[in-house]
Amino acid sequence: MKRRTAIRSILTLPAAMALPVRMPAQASAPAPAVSNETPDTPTVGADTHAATVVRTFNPDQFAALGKLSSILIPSLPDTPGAPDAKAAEFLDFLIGQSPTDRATLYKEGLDRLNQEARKRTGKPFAELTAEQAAPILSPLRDPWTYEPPKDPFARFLLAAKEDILKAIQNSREYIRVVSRRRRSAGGMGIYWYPIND
Amino acid sequence: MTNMNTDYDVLIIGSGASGGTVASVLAKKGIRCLMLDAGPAVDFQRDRGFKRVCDLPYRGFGKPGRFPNVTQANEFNGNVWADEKKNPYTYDPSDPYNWVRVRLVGGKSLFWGRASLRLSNYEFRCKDHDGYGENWPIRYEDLAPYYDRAERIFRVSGQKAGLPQLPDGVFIEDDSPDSESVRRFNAAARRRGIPTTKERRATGELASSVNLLLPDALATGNLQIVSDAVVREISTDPNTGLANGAYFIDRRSRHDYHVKARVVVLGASCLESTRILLNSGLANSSGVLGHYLFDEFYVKDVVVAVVPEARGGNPPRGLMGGGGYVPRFRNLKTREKNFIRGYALGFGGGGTPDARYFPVYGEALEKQLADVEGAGFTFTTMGEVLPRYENHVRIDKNVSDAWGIPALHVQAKYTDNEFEMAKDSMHVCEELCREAGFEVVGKHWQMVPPGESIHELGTCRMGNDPKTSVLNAYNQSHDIKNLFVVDGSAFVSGGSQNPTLTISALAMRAAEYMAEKMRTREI
Repeated sequence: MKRRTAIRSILTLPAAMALPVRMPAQASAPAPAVSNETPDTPTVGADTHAATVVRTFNPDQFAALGKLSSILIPSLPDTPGAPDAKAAEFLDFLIGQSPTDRATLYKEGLDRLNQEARKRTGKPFAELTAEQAAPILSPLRDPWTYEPPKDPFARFLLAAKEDILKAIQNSREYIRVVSRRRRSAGGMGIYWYPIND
Repeated sequence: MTNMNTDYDVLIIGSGASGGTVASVLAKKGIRCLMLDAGPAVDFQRDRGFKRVCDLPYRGFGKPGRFPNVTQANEFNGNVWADEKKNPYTYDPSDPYNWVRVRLVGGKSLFWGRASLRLSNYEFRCKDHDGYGENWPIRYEDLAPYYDRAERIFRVSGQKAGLPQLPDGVFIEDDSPDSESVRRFNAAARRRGIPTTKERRATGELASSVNLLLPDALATGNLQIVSDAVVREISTDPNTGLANGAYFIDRRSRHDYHVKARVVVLGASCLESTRILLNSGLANSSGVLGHYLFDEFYVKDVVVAVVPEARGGNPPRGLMGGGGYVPRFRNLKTREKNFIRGYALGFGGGGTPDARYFPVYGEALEKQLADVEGAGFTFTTMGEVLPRYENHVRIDKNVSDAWGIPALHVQAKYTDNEFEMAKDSMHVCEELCREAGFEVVGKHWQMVPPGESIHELGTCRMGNDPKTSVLNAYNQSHDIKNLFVVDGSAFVSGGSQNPTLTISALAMRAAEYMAEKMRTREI
């Protein structure tokens, strides 16, 4: 039985049948008050209380993604950035669920970041400063064109820029901070549940 | 198989703008109708609610790969679109087609963009005008009284503009003041002799068949609606060859049914109606059933501009916001370009241009986005697509849907006439923006794939000649007199106007004709 159906069927029962009957433990002790109201149990989001288990990218790729995210959308004093929004962790999850061509674009793009970084500095991308990374990220300074670039690395960088920004702007942390300044940043929308499926 | 034990006067397949209109007309005339819809009915209280994007499992990205052909799908509305795995169709990978479907009672009228525009004799008499294609078997004047009625039902707001290519209607007068940026754009267009007008849109919290058409019909007691009824084929009387009902399958249980009726009306949406006819092997003595598929091509964000005075993140009051519509202005009096027909433009100000337009990152990107917040002015091109025989649908015998019903193969592509039109629209928007003092930050002319505008039309076209058309001037099958097709598949040409208002007006006209022919026992 689906949850909603179950709740509906409970609601149609007399309260005495729907709720478990509490028997007094001892005749002399007063019975605790039983609420007849349906409870609204608060829950919290996993992303604010637990760490993502990284499954899609290898440690080098994931470290490069973390660095790339924080360079593309850094945390500012009054605006959460990639680290606050756990953008890299979220993208590890999202890309892991994505069609193969998307996952390949990301994995090969992250590998290329590390290759380029090692070639230029002898260090992995995650250990570069933003200034050291700038030449590697030069495709992001090319003017926008509708057709994506032919070079897969450039395509990866543009896709990552878009995905990281969206992952941040739609994150709990960003919405918590920015919606205080702008009501439109609340990320609220009309959600459609599965309809009589 | 279960035979439904009641015979109805009219069986209506589909409950959207076309089926709903027919039901509304017929039920009020005392004609007993049964309506089938492939999907469930929406319970607006139960089926939707507010959520924050950060509370969604995929942060608004949606489940990757769930809707490869529905770009409109997002994580908020993902459950309203037809499931592409259960409802497959095929196309050549080199010619992708985005078939966007809603399988709910009310159909796409639950979610449409509400643009409510009349066609004109530039469309109805298109061949007379430029020699291409076929004229409709009706003139604008034949449909005008039905447009009047449809606009009242859909409570269309607009402003009379006196343009022959976009006839005025019965509007809730929109006399709202334009923002300064819209006034500047309108003035720039006027200097070039390009007309602009207010958007013409259905109003109200909901503007759907389920609140504007079906309730009145249901109230008569003459309409029954069966939800979750996936129609497999139309049945015919072997003695007369006339339609006598339909076979359908319960969406959830797969239980097979048959229902009988004196008249059958297809309003299942353009391609679904044609699919049902093709699977039924009916109404195709002309050989054109499935052919002449077209739509309106869209170039989304053909030009994205920024209003300089709105930079800084806090545009002055009254500068931004609002929008409008540029009706077709090309090739009206003379052939003036390297294409025939024309396109319309929708425009609006007040959004924030996407980050992709700014080739920076890091703090510079965040400053850039803050600077242009609310300062954007964007355009979308909606262009006429020429109906061509080779653009068509046919049954793909190798693929069936979740109910075992053979699926469609769609073959459609745009050609030079549309490409040239799209390029022209980009140049025009760019020039007008510069003249209005806006800064263009992005421009392109690449259309979205055919189908994505959700304005698929044709494949079951009207005409006077049974050898070159499927339906007559009243949406009635040339071959089978008690079979009508009332959705967008009946269109002969489409212009650049959104089609829903015309679909509803045509359905209303067809329903009145149908009722009269039933009264006189001609059908």
